[in-house]
Amino acid sequence: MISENLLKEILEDDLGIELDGIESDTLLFSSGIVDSFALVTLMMRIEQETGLKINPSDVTLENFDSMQRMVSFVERAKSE
Amino acid sequence: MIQYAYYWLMIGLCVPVFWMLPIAYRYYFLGVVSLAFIASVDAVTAALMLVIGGLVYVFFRPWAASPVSRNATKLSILIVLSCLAYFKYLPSIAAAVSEGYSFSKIALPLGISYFAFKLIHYAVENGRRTLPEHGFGDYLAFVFLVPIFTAGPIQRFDLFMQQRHHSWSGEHAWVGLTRISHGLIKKFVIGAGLLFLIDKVDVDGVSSMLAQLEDLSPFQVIAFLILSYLFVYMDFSGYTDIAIGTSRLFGIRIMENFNFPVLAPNIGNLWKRWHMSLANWCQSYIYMPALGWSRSPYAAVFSSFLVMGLWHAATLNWIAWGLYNALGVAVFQKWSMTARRRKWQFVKSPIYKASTYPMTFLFFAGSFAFTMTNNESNIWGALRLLAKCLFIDLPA
Repeated sequence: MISENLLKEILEDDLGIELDGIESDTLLFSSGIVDSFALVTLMMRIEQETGLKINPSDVTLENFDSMQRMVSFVERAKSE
Repeated sequence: MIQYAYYWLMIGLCVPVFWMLPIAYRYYFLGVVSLAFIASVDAVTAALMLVIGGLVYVFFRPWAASPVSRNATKLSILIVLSCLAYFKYLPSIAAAVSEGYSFSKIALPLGISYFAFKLIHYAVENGRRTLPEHGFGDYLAFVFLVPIFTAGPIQRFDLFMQQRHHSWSGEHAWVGLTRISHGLIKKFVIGAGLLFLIDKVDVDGVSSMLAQLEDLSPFQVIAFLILSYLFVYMDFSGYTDIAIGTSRLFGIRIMENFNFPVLAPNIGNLWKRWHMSLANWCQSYIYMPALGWSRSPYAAVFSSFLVMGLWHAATLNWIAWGLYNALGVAVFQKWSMTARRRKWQFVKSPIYKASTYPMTFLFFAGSFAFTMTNNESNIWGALRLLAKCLFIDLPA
């Protein structure tokens, strides 16, 4: 599983993104906080941490636009 | 549409009738009236789109609920794209490869690019089962809504369903008419003023400008590109204001298409402010899938802008316009990532931040070198204009 705390660590340490004002439901990609380089890093770290293989058709804003959505996506994908 | 007096007469008559009808019939009425108006301008377009739109709704929509739903979605998209390719791209490709054969008799159906992208969005979301519950009347009004039919915005179906008011309020009239008046001022006052200035700068048109380019000052070319950018912005966003305002008279809130792009601090941010409905569409259906398949940000950026360029027209100039913007976004993203990782402090300084606004403005104005020379199919001319801005004279 992946937690919001781990995602915050990745955002801050791996991607250099300042976390001030970023909540679990803050839109990361559509607001421009996270760009495509950062999104690829996030996807790869999620795969690394969870052992999940993210299907290309699952790469949508509905699944990856906030920390909350990423956690829910991983939980759903793991339970399937 | 807005150039026809009877369009405004129709809107004036339809608004009261729409609100007097029971809710169950309103969107049927709006869809049918819109389709009738489109047919009055171009009957072939209306018939063709009714057939394709009808196929997607009647045949493929229920199919998407079955276990073979992916095939239904793929087939819907294939039909829509084939139609777009036949009317929009085949004539250009045929003209490019065969001098003797003319496809000039194929008339481009009105609003086909907007229609096609709306329908693909509907088919994909239908396949994903994310569409809200709706009836045929809702679908008809969504696909054919006349104020946004020819020039967008490319409305999303979920937003179309969510952002409707079902009871009349004077606010609809006030907000709608105010927005229409803003659009008319942008289009016919500010836009006309900018066009007048462009005429002063471009020496009797772009062809003439290119013929005399060596004798012109780089600042004259820069002024031409800036004025072209501002003119297209005023003209297009003015049209959008009119479309949004007219839709509001029917209680329908349409998504925004522009958010002061001239104030963008970087090219990535600009594409969240300029032609937003097209950029959002490409983000959902090109960018994210490309990122998922390739895991390459460059592939995602370049494929998205290539589609955006081709969406406008199948010409080398529009393709180059897409690649120019893609290059800008890719370089900016790489720069931002490097700055974040290396914790560069100068990018937080007020001087650096202040300089990003004019740089973004000028970079995007540069893209109009490709669009303003599109009618002459002159990609070399576009490159000459850009080089001239950098004080470089390329041969004619």
